Amino acid sequence: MAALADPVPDPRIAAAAAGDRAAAEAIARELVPRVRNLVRYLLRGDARTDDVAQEALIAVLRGLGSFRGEGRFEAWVDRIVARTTFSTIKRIRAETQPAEVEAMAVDTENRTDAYTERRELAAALDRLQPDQREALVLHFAVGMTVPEIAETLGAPFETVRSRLRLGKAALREALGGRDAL
Amino acid sequence: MRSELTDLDLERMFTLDAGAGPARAIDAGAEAAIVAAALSGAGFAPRGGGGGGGGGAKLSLIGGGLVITAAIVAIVLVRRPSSVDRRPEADLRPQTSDLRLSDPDDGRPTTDDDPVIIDTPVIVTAEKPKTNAVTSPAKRDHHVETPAAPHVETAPAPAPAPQDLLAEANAARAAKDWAKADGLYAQVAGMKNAFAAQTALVADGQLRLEHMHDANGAIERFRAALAMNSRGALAEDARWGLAEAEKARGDRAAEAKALDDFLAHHADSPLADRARARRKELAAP
Repeated sequence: MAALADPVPDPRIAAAAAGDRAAAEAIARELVPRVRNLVRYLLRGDARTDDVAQEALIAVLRGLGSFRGEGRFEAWVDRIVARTTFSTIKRIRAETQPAEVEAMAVDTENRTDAYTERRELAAALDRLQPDQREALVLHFAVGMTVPEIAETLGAPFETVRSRLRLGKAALREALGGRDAL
Repeated sequence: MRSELTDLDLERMFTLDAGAGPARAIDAGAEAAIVAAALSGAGFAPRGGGGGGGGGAKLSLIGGGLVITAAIVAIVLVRRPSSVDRRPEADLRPQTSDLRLSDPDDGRPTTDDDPVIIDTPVIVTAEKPKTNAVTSPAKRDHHVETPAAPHVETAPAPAPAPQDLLAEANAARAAKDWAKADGLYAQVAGMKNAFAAQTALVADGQLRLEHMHDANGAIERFRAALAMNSRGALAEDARWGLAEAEKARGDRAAEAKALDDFLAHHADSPLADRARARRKELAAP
């Protein structure tokens, strides 16, 4: 993944954009865990994670030709993944009744501490208001500033600030006074 | 000592990388399946399939086939081996795939509560069977092995699975047997599996438009596909197909309307620039 994060654009990106399947496959293979993780941060429950990750990956691959190398490739990918996921969330909300919070088992057996902690975090996020969750993920996971979040979500700055403030409070409560490290 | 989580703690916890979590751990095969379907969806030809990929650069005439390919791949990915079932008799029951499609019969996205059920046909044998063989109708003549035991009860022949029919339709299309492909797509379009049916409708619409010189038939199918799910991934192909079909009919007003509808729903599509350019042409006196 180091190559994709390098300030100098990975030559595989241009190759894939030009239709090189091997290059595209290599990029997709490297990206898929990150894409799944971001989708899961944004999406309530595990059930649709892989479907949405696949859609997001398609959007990334289709858009490779528009990557100008002006920033980190992964940051560019994250934005596309977030946009695709939001689009799916809107569709789900439009088509279905609000789902019950999925009873998510935090499968800790034979897992690393980091995995367990992130699964617990996702479970806590599942209990938050969706708009607060989206703001928190874009800020803390994707690293967006408030104006960037506002633009992405189509919400005023103050609204985003409010969502972040309330979201942090709700998340701390959902995490149940865990030890700060 | 307990203390409140700081922003710094949250930043550390929200780490986004290719490491473990928060997505549920899956095996390498499942990851590979996502990659394969994404590559197909993005227009990259399968290995050994001839031709390069796309990245949007090599879209077909009507830009379709990309999502359809992904859809078909996705359907095939959840397909269980059906040619031979050697499970013990006590275990002969419909199988539930662990994989999920965004596709229950009602077209809404699938959840864990909506497993994809793929019925596995059953042959119950009274005596020791040589094999429990079940094949699709197309293969039956070649692969059925008759059990040696005299008292064999067979379940009614199963209807062909949509993924089998889609694969057969694609093969017919590759062989330029348009009529056969059209018939097979129509068969799938009438099935209860909404995702497969919508896939077949869009594929058939493209077939009618590109190879059968039947723009009216194409429009019917694209509209039917949109009526099934106007927001799904296939909707982009269907809307673009409608615009192309109206163009083929020479109805400039209807084409402009279709392009407007396409741009209203898919402004970020790789085809959006082409749609805008064509819309300008149509607006010119």
